[in-house]
Amino acid sequence: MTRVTVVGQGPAALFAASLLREAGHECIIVSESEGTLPLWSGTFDFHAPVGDVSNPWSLLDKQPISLSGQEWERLWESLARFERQAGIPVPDLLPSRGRFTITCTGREKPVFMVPAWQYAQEAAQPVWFVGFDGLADNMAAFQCGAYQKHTGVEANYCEIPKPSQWTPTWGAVRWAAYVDSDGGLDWLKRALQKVSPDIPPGWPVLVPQVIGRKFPERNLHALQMATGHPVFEYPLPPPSLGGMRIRDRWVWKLKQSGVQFLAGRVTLADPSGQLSLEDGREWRSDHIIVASGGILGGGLEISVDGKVHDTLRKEVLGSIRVRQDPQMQEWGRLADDGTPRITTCGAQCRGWNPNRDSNGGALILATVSQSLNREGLLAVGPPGAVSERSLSHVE
Amino acid sequence: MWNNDDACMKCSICITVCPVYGQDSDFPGPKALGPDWFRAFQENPETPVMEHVDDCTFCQLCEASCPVHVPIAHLIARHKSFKKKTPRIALRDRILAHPQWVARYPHLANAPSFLVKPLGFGTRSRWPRPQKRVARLVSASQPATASQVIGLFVDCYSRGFDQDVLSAAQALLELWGFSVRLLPHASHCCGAAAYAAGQPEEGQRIARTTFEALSPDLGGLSLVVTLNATCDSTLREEWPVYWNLALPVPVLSFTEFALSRAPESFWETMKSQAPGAAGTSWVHTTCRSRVSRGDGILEALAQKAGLPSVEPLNMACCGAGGSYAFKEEHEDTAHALGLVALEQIKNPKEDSIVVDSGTCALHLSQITGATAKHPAYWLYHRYRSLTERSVEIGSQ
Repeated sequence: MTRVTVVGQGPAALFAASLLREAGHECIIVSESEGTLPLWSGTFDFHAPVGDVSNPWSLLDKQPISLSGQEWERLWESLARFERQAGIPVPDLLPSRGRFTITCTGREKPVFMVPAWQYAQEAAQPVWFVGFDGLADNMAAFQCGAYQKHTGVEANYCEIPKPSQWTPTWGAVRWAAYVDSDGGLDWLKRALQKVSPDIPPGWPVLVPQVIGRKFPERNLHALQMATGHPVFEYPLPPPSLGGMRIRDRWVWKLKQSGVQFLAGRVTLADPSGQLSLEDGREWRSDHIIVASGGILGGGLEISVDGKVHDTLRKEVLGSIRVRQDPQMQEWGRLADDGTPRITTCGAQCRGWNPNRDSNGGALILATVSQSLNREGLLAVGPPGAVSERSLSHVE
Repeated sequence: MWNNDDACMKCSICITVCPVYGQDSDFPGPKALGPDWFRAFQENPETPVMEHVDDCTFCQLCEASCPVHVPIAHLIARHKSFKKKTPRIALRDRILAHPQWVARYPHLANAPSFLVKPLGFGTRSRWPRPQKRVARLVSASQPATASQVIGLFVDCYSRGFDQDVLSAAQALLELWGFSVRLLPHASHCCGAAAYAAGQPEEGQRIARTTFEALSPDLGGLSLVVTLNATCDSTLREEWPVYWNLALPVPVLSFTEFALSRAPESFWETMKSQAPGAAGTSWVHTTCRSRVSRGDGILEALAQKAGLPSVEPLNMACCGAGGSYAFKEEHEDTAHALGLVALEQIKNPKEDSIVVDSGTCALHLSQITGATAKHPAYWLYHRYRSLTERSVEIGSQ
């Protein structure tokens, strides 16, 4: 059995580990801190700076890494399969059109793969926003006004008062724990039942993304039964319950499949497969995949003089202008330019800037695929495995 | 004070891994209690202490999650040290911060509840009972003279209550061909309990005494093996980083030592027959072990040893937190955290729990009804049952 060590435990590392396990390889994940998933809602995007974002399949050649339509289809289907296997409610079929979620500021944001708990629509529809008094980033009135202004579609909102247990220390994670409890779910059901007569028939009810950490599906179903309306979540700034749920379930699935999650700082990752940790542990793998591109741009350190150090190879990759605000994509570019020897994924390479272009999901899929292919680790399916439907997406 | 102590960039990722924040609705969470408090404290040393700071278990999961390596849990421990306590709570916490005292007189744990309740000890959490030592293991195939001397660190809990685990580990190490030196001779603590209770200076004093007690016995040792995950990471990581104490020999957990150093003949015996028991072997890697070394190592050992149906328990902190669950104000949180195990363990009479800490084992046993013990205990009993059975078959 081929042994592969993946450095990092963000979405790129989890995706790489799932592909590796599916291909029958042994996989060890090693990371010195948490991955990025809890910092975003976990909706994987497939968009680009220009073009018709409502048809993401028309944007394939605008992604910084060029892959065939079949390859993109295969990767998205793999991601959806892994999420479903982990119990994350993503649809069985990939969407043929792009969709939009609505942010807490009332903006439409393009999304491609969205778990069922989060609201997404193809075209703007009337919706009813719910705000929670006492929840940070609660701005239902502003959200509703902004949505109406940008879309020209009817919308309305209400704000429900905080529960008696509330204290000023309640952040999104605490709210979610409360809604997971019987008492919390009852409180929310009663609060929504009070306002439901005002909500026009057929309008979806959009609530903040705090409807439970462990039982969001159960909770949303209960709210739907209580109000008679479809109820979905809208995403909030970090820490984000959407990403936390995906992390919790996906990491757990990988642990069950025998993936070790070792804790430690990698100090050496050699192309020969030799890996050393700061605490002195060492082992040899057949392959090393570096997937540490997330929060700080890939295991890089910036010293006070602006020099960018690659901590794995003990090299100075370049420097940034320290007197200005640091630009994370600049660090990522340095990581990519300076990483010809170790296979890296999940980093912002080749001018890829998901913060600007909303295509972080595609970045993860493409760079992981590229890394594993470069190492010869992906079992490529027979040509017949590509469905007719996939080709019809590509215009 | 320390590297990165002022580096928080407010990403809040620590909040997403804190077991207490999701459970206790009054707990302000690691970011507020650690880096936020520290910044305020640097500006103004008169910054008031937050009321619920003592509700942190010192599991260190927050610290391990931080992308910029803020020593969050250690900042919280510093924050705890400013908390004013009533005399009875101060006395209780002083006792619990010195588990080496209890280890000397383990029958103190039999004190009736009407005596301990007024001191603020909880009455719901079960107290440990001293266990008897197990017999040595013999193997004809092992070398007559041991080639290496290994130190086995006798932590307070193993000394006072888990003599069965301690003697099982010793028996296995000797079976594997090592000469075992138990250390320290007398009852001493690594200092972790005092640190977790917000007494860093007392922890350092305790650790230094232990260091001095250990030092004369370290000559000729190739390494020190630990049984308890908290003591393991305290000796290896906190001693050098926070207390400027560095043992001259490497420290390694029993689990990792067994995986890397037990001879092939041992594993062949362990794999030689189908598992005898029918139940599931649930594995719980304690927080401190996960933070220090990672998850999945204990499962690898359980599988290699042929324990039946090895499954990881899906839980973060079990709620024991060393002495955390023994305090009256923490009993509800500790119990609620442990209930996650009960949701998964449906056959407590048949199932078993493999866990690398005595207090976590005690807590999980109480909540689930299943027997929870250190891996050394399970390896010992499986080896013994397999070899006794083969002797019986041979004599027929």
